[in-house]
Amino acid sequence: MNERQAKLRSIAGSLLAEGRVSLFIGFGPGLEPSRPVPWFAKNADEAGKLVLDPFCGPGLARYLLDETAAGPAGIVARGCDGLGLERLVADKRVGRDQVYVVGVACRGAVDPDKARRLAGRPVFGAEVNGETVALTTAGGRLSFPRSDCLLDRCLACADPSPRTADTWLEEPLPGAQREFEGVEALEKLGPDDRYAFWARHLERCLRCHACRNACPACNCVACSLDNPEWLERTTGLADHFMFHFTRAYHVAGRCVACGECQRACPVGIPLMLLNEKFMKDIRDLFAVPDPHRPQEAEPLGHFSPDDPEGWREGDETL
Amino acid sequence: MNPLVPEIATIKDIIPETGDVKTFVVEPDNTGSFAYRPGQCAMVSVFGVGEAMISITSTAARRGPLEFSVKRVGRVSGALHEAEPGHKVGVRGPYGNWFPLEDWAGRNLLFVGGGIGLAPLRALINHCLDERDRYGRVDIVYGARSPQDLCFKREIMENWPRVKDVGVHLTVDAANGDWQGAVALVPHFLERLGPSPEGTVAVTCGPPIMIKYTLASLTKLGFADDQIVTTLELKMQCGVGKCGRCNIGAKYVCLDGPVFTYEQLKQLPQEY
Amino acid sequence: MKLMRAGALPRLLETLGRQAQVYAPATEDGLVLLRPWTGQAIATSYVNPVNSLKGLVYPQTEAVLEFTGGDENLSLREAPAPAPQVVFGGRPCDAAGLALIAQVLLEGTFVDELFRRRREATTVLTVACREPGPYCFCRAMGVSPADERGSDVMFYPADDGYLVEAVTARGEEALQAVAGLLAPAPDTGARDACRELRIPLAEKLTTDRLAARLEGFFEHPYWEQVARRCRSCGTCAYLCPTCYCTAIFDTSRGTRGRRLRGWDSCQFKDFLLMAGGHNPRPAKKQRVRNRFLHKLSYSPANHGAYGCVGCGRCVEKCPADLHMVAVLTDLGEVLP
Repeated sequence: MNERQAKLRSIAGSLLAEGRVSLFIGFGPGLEPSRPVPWFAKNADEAGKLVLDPFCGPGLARYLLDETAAGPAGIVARGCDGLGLERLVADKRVGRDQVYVVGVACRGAVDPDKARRLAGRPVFGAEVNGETVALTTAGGRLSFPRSDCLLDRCLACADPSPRTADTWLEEPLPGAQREFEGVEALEKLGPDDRYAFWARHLERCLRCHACRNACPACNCVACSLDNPEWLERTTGLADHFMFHFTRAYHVAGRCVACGECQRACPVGIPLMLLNEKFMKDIRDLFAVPDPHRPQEAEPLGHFSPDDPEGWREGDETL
Repeated sequence: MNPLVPEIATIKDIIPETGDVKTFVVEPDNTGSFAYRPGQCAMVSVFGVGEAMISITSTAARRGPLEFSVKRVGRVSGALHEAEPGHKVGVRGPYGNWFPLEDWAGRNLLFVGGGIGLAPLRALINHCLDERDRYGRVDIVYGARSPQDLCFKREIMENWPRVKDVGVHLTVDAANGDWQGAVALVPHFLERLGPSPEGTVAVTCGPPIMIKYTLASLTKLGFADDQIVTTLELKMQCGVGKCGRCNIGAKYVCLDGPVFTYEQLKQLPQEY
Repeated sequence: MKLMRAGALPRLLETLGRQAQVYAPATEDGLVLLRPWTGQAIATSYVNPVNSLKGLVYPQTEAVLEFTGGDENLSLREAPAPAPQVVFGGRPCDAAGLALIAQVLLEGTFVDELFRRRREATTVLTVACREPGPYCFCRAMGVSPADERGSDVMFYPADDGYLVEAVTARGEEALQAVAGLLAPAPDTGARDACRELRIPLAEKLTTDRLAARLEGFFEHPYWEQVARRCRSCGTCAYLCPTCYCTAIFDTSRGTRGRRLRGWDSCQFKDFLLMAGGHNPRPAKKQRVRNRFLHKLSYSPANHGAYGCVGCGRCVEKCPADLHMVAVLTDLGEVLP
């Protein structure tokens, strides 16, 4: 039936049975078929319930922060999860040797809310075939354009597979170059319109920290946004601007474009536009073709003695 | 009346106790004071910094101003430590329950304190010693990290030992200078002293880890759960049972505590 | 009971708005939210607005007091009384949530004055439900799609309008102000339909004797397993119409400042962190357990009702799908 899922269960089950990992992170059954949940299998039995289908939405990488403390963890990784893991490894928050990556080729995750809205009824299954998505409902199969069905973050995805894996569930798909159409559209607006755009969206912010807590780049042990000396706990529009702009600056050059912040946001703030603005600028200003992929010399996190600007010693503005 | 609004009060005096503990003598500007009982707490605020729940270490029956002994650990306590006499603070309270003194007539009292944990006990000890004849023998076991960290030195060294049938037993975790007394952690020291549980109520307060081991030591010494009383500290924001913070299971430390018998504590989740 | 045509709704809000700030559901970026109403289109096709009634009566942050002056001369001013407000379009579950918060904040030794004032300044016009949302489970929590608790006026959606019925004296007064828009109701059909509405998801859940069955469950390994997927954000608590935990904090510039009271969440890792570093609930397991036991065990013990009204927001929005329905479903299997 679902061969990928069967294969994943078998790989995860063996890893656990052989003691190569103490936990396997993937997806498990949720409230309904369209909402699988992050799943933490500790034994072959629990691995036997792993789910792998186009409804697997939540980002998994950040769970590695908690789950590699007690021993190596296995994880099923799409491209976004893989980049998230690279981020955590580059930031020395997770040891690469503490993670066993089962790489997959992801064709995009179906947004359960969009699917239900389009189908007008509960959706039991989905299949992503090129530019269309077939949804299974009690009333039969319905076909919709991919762009209407997938999670926002999957529409701009350029990384269907992780860049490295310890084993592959299937042939990995090659990465592409990321486009920034949303940012380009926003850049065309005048300052007043841009302000109005962000004010309208950020006004809804609940300051629930779902974005921060979803983000593999927001992996600091102590976050300045939790410290009232840096950011007051007041919740006016100005505070929301401060929160999100600070966060965007802190992950600039480190964001892996997994889009989990935006998926997690309960009030629909297009947070990725902020991150993509930085990515696009880094791409254009630093000639970094893939600014969302962790690299050896990170444009904003690396200093080289032969930097064209030099070390501004004696510079009074420093 | 909004229970979250404090009264402005003036710091009348500041008594250094140890390197990081000061006692603040505070007088509410309008009312002068308020009625409270040993074991109760009050919210003390430094405006612009915030509020903290602090046990009242003075004794209401003595009719003086309010006293709070505060260890410098965080933002509010840090700001208090920077304050000077004459500065304004906010005070609201009293909050929480109190030690069940009414049940203790004729019984021996054993107080076991650690570090700044002597602050709530001091209110109680002074109250009991002021009505000395109501109780049997009184023993005060008190320890701190070092001799310099012992609070209320005048009381523990001079005032309390002079009272009839009161034993003050001091210990430090690590000796230095000319310390001639015991060197032991409070629970060990207590076990070595071996007070009899016969007709005795034990009251303990200190850091969470000390309370945990002291409860075990008291049990080992034969104290029944209902003979042991402790006072807890949990993070509190409102103090009036509304902010949902200081719960241990279905109980709120600010309303149902801070004073609990060990018997009551055992009914609660071990999460404090 | 009266009948109001759907087209009369703007006039109703306009009339009530002469004396009060009106809130109504509005569509914004594909979301329906309760927003200040200034004549814009009133959203009707929604199950529950993203924001619950809670935030309008128990704001995310509100002033307790203002202070001015320095160390040696300081004066306080209590926050001014809130202005009257009318909220149209909340659902019965949200209103029942308000009633539950009122129990916590207004009963007992102390009365939460800030909440009391705002609650008394608010008229709640509730629209009962004719259709369940996919994640609604109110009936499992003892709340009905026509529940009147916490509402001042009930609006029962009918074919071309609403059956309207006052629940409280405040509601009665509001309806008198708009009497010209109301006609006698032909029958009670619309109300009966709401009262009888089936909530399929609720029928799958068992909440019988839950508090008793949870006794002794505190140390069960279930909590550790389920908590693994929690991300310790505040989505559930901030969307929840019954979560009432708050923090109190100061903000100041120079010699002026305010003390504020604002929402907090027991899922944040620093919720119980004390100065000095002691934290009684440092682990996710402990915080998740506290959230669900508070709603399913402590709230019944202290207030005689579950701390959940089954609105379904956490079900829809939790980024890791760790919500009340998931936990109730699991408990159905794990509990004796």
